[in-house]
Amino acid sequence: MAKKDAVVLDTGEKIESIGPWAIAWRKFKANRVAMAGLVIFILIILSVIIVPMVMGISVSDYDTSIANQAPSAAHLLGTDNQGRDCLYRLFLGGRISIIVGLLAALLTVVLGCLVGGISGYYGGMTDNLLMRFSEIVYALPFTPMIIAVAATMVWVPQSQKMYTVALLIGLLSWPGLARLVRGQILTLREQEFMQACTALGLSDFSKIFKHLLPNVISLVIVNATLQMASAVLTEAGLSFLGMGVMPPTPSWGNLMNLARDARIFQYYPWQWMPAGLMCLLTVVSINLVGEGLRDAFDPKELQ
Amino acid sequence: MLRYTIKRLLTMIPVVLVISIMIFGVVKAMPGDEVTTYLGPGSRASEQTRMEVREKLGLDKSLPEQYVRWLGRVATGDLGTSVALRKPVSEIIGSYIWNTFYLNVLALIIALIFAIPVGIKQAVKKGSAFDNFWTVFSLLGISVPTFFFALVLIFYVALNFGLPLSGMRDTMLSSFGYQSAWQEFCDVAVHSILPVTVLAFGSFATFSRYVRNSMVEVINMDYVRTARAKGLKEKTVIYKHAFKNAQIPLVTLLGMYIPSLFSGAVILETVFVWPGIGKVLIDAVNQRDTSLIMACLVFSAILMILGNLLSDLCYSLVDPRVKVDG
Amino acid sequence: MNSRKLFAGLTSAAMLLSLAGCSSSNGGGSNGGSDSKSESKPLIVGTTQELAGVFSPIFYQSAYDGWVVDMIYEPLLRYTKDSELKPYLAEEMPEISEDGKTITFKIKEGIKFSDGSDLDANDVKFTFTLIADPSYDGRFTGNADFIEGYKEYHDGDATEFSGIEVVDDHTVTFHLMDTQYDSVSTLGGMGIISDTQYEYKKGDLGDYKSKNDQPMGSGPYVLNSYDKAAGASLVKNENYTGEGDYKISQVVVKTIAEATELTSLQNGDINYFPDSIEADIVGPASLDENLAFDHYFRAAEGYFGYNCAAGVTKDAAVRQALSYATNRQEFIDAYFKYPEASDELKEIPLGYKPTIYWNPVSANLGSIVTGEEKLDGLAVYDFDVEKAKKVLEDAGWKDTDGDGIREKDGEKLTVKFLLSEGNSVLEMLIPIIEKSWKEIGVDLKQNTVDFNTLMDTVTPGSGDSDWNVFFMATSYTGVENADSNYNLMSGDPNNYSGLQDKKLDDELKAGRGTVDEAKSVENYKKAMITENDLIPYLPIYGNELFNIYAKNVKLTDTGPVRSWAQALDTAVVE
Repeated sequence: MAKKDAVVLDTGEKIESIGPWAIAWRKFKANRVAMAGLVIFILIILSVIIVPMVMGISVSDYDTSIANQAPSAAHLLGTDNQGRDCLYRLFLGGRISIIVGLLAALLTVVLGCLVGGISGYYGGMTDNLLMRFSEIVYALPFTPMIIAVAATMVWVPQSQKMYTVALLIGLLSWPGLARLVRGQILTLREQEFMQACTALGLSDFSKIFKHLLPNVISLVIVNATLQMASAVLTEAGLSFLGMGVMPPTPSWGNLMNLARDARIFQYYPWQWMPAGLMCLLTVVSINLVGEGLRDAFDPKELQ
Repeated sequence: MLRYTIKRLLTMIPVVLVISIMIFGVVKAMPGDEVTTYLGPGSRASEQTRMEVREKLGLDKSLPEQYVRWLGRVATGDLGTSVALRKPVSEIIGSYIWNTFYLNVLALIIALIFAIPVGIKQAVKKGSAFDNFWTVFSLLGISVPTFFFALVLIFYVALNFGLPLSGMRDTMLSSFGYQSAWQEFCDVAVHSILPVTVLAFGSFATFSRYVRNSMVEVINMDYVRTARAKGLKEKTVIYKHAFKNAQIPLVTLLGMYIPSLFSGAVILETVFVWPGIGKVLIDAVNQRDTSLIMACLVFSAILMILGNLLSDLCYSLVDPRVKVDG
Repeated sequence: MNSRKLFAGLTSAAMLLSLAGCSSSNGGGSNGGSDSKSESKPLIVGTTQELAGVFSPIFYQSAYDGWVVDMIYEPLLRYTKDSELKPYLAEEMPEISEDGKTITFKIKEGIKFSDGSDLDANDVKFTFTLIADPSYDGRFTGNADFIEGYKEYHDGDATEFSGIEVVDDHTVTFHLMDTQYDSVSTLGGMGIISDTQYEYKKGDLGDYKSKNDQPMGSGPYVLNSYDKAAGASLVKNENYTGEGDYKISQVVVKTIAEATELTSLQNGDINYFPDSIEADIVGPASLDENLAFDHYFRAAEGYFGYNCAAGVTKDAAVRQALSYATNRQEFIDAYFKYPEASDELKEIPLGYKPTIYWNPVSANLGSIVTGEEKLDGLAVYDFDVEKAKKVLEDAGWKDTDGDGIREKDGEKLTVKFLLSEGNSVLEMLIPIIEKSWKEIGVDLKQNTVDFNTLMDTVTPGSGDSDWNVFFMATSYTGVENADSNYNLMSGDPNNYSGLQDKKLDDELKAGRGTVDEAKSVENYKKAMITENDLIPYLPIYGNELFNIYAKNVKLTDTGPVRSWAQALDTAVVE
């Protein structure tokens, strides 16, 4: 398909031939909810990058004389039990949570599509082996794994250990997606257009990437968003069990976890509530974007 | 079909063995050990006593030998003894697994009862206010961290309505005996409200999204249009033609849900002090209680593989185009 | 669609109805459960830690299991509210020979176990024999290993524990290998086990262990039920022969979810929450008119342990410098602070800075721990960064390459701190020391591990010496100092610091090896001066302990070494 060659009709009307990505983008732009999600997500990304930089304080700063202060002009979201600025920790924590979520989701999607795609397409022995392999990976337990892995990197600075969390979430989460991709490809493989492809003598590469993948893309994208969301949530859950990102490095997970302290929960809501809300907002916005993309890529809605 | 099932069941054996080896490796790779749990923190045991305990627990052997000994015992039906609880592992699992199962099944049923009709209706009325409302609702469901939601419920709902905060039964009642089965049923039911709500909210969100999304895909397909064009009743079109084909992702998802019915909710069980297998597992991990960890994890691995098999078989039942013999 | 709607509607209506039915029957049920005939309502004690279910006086590990043990088993001597040791099953305080090596207990007559059998001198001997058994692997070895004949029985082929002499049915004499200051409390504090309940052969504790879930003692309560998740319940021992008017007929120890302590008290889920050290719970409780509290000094300390056997902290100067550069007061002021609290509560100081690593409620040095009594020559490590720098400078730790971190003989002053997870003390403390340790030229590295790993790593002989500092809290069950002795003695399995110092060993031994109180105190004081120069452990904080309960609970005969479970004789729930 040539790029943007215009077809000029006899009447002088020009019809632009555009690719599927451009169509998708147009459709996405038209979807107000999805656009709102995208805007929110971009704003969150920008703010977690910029706000901690602008505030010019360090993660190790503290001042116990102003501990647990309610929000004020000096500290917009109040201070925590060590007198640290909650706004700063909120956005820094967001940065870390999003990085963890992004890395983990990326890894999950890449591994899940690869394994699921190959497995579903080739079937037979390959499929069998890969699916057994994914069962093995799926059976590996999070908590003992994270304790075991943490033990191998004992004196690595606390702030770098979050990558372990991301890596592990990614490495252990792909089997679910792989099975879904495989399931979809299995169904597609049996459909007429694939038989047509075979009849036309197309290569495996062309079949997988030009004909099968676009058909599973909606599934993959919906799942990529779910994965990113669930990776952020998994990090929060691990923090709850004391195995996620470790303080003093903040993350939304360990900030929300402060709510386990009855006093902080009841009397100092500014220490954990914003993290919960931001986390929720982020995950919701990612999901909105995902939904929008899914609709945008849907070839069945061409009008 | 039967041949395929048997073949898959047979391939389970090496897979489970590999899984058990890997889990064993991971468990042993954790720092700390069972001796510390066995003797208790602050134990005054001399180094000699420690050595004796190591010997008694078989920890003086090489790792492969320890694994083989474990396997040998399991083959004879002996899952070992918990170092922390000093009880047979089979007894511990047997008494906790049903609490977990009960909780998860109840939550799943409730979630499905609501998720399927809501999801279908959303797809049918795509873009309507109804659709938007439930889309947002289910987005919240998959976006909220379990423990966060649970704590919020504990503090805002449980207190205002006098619901129990934790546990599965009232300790007073269960310790000194229920007066009737009805009382026991009610006691458990009241204790289930919060954990089931949290679990069902999450599952509802996941399932209604899946039902909606796959229905949306199916509803525009030619055969659905044909069915409509034939003048079939809308209800027949939706349920008989469209939904049947939209079930594939749902069935896969359900298949993968089965293992989590037995092992899913570590965090939830911790928050609500629910006497389930997830809590047993996390305690066992913290205490390096190898026999107990191995039993819990291998058991849930087996269930998970069975779940996969089940969902593969369901594929071919719902969608006859999918060949399973491949 | 309509039929489905109807179905969903019916289901939810049915659920609501059954719940409504339940809530009313539930209310009736809990009244029925608390037997209207008894004089007192049940006592429901909350704990956020599960009971492990090891209700044996010679095997229990957690303090929570210890509560149940205390209600079922009785010792010869017990502490009062004011930490004074008084006869319990013993007729009177034991007779001690001049050299302190022979101790004779007279046991009260007519004491029976809950199965109706007599408790006599043979049961006392039996209890200690179990601890001396070659296959015994509990943590109470220290309660028997100083009795004559221990080695012969434990390691040799003696068929009997010869150091315990049954003089007559109600008299038992312990012959000790050494004079020990704390032997009376060590021997007297052990809960007595019945020798008729178990089949026991030397070297085989199998039968004893298999009956772990059937504890039987002479105490006022017997175990009714135990469930790992829900907790334990006890009922009054109908055959109780001891003194005391036990009004409460049902006691429940209930596991509750974390962060729900206060709400569980407020909604009546529990009516007693003991041993709370958190201002977060006590503060709001003091403002609740339905709740009351009592409080006392906690027999515990939080401390840093330095690795004296390996790494940079092997150098005493480094340990001293780190101690000088630790602003404990700042931590205490910040950590031990009341949120909203009643004026009455605000008067009670929550935390203090201890001067030595020793039991704060001990009879001999307690006042020195709290700083009430000053000890000449004792280094107390008030926060002083300049002093810390000087100590390092003098010991040859200098920053030669200008990177802000000191070196000596090519080794960087990198301090590796083992943190335990989910510890709110450390979360507050680490930023404080991070700043000041950096200032004196220390590179602080942290690693967070779970408790099992921490214990395993710091236990001597684990082979893992790649750490410099850890934080832990210790608590004492008596007013004696055996624990501190163990933690400091060269080569002791509980000496986590790995310190080996002959002079300190001798001073500690001299302090413990006498029954002359003045002499003991004098030697212990010397030991403390030596210890603080060597500083293997830096005590960080000591604190106040609170029991919070519903107003209708009258249970106040408790103290630092007398738990609620030992004080039920005068208690009532109105």
